Amino acid sequence: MKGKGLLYTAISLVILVLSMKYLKFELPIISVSAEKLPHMSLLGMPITNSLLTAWVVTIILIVGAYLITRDMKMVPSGMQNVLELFFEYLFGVIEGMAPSQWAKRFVLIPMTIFFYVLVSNWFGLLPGLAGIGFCEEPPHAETAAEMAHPSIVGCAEGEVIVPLFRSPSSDLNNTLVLALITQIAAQVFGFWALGFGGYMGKFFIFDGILKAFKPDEHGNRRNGKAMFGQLAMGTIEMLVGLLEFLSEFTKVIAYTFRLFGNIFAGEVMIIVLTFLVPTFIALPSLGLEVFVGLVQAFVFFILSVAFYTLAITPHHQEDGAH
Amino acid sequence: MAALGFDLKLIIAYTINFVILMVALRAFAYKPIMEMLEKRKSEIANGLAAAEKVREKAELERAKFQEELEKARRASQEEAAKIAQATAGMREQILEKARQEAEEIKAKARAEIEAERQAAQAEIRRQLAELTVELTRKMVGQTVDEGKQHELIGQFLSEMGD
Repeated sequence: MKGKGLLYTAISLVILVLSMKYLKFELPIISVSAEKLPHMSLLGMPITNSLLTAWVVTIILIVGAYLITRDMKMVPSGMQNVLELFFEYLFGVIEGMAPSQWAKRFVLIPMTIFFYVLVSNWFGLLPGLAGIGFCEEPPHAETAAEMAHPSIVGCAEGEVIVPLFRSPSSDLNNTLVLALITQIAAQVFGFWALGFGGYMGKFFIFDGILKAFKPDEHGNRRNGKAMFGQLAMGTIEMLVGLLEFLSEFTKVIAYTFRLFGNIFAGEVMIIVLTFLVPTFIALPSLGLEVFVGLVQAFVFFILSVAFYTLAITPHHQEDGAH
Repeated sequence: MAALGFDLKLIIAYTINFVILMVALRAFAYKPIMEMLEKRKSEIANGLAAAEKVREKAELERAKFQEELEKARRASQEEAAKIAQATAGMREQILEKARQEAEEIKAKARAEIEAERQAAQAEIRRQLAELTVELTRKMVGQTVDEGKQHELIGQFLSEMGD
């Protein structure tokens, strides 16, 4: 078993090195937005390579899940075991963070995000994927001049390649959707758990300020100094609440750009490294990106669970936790 | 926004895609796995409970068996003691009987010996007397009449008896 594994690894390495030496891939234009695929559209909407990859990833996930779970065994083995391992681990994390009656309600979105982001990230790392695509006239002349080297085999002189696949995680539209869905769900959970008043009370805190004009705990009227102190504390509390409210919106932006930045940077690094240095130097960074892909999927998963848990926590309990 | 590639149509497309994925994974992954985990959990719990039940039953059975064993052991001990007592009594009886019989035999034998001894003594005395009379007659040379003879024998015997 071990010998076979080593043999396969050696063969793959030889193939990889040879292909990198003799097959020349085109360095694609590095573009922040996903590239539109030529001559492809759906209901007037241009299809980008990231959207196409998202569909492929979705199909892989659905078909994979169907194949694995259509005949589940009491004693798991093979892929069922792997899937159950992931699921149990992630569910354990949710149960560890959220109150038990909410854990099952939280499963759907974070878990889907995890599997979707994980497969998306890894799909973008498949070696050689960047070399498959359409040859096109470069959009800008100066880009074409820059792209004239290295020597191009796949495309005609002066043309650049538009990759057919690109990880959905490196498309801002996709990460924005994930961020919005997570954030909207967090608001829904918040209203569900605390009611309208309770949830809004987390952000609009006026108790502190109003308290300044009321008698203290002993029923005595506050003097000027005590009233000022209470007023200051109340104002701070109110501002913190408003900041929290604002952060509910900024979270979406942070969430969107975090995943995009990580995955996009990783892919660009690998593409650039592959063209700049010998393959074996680029290999460790590929390994690193596999790891980053997993970590980012997990980070997104855990962030969404954390947002949900925070959303269902009442204001006073939150204070107690600090 | 356009420079970053934001496009409302794409956003809608991704949203639809993600929702489809969510629904499908819920149906094909989370629900069956959750059910399987629950099932396995209850199965294991049942198995453990059943094992515990069996263990308890075995323990009970063992205690019962132990008790029965103890009872049997006690019964057999009692039986053995009874038998030992009975045999001891019987042995004593037999010995006593044997002793008595031996005593009787001894007494009988002694009586017989005594009788025989007395008979022998009487015989010896009679023969001695007759012998004496005979001897005397021969020495005296006269015939002692019958009456005198008897008288002499009686006298001799009485002297002998003294």
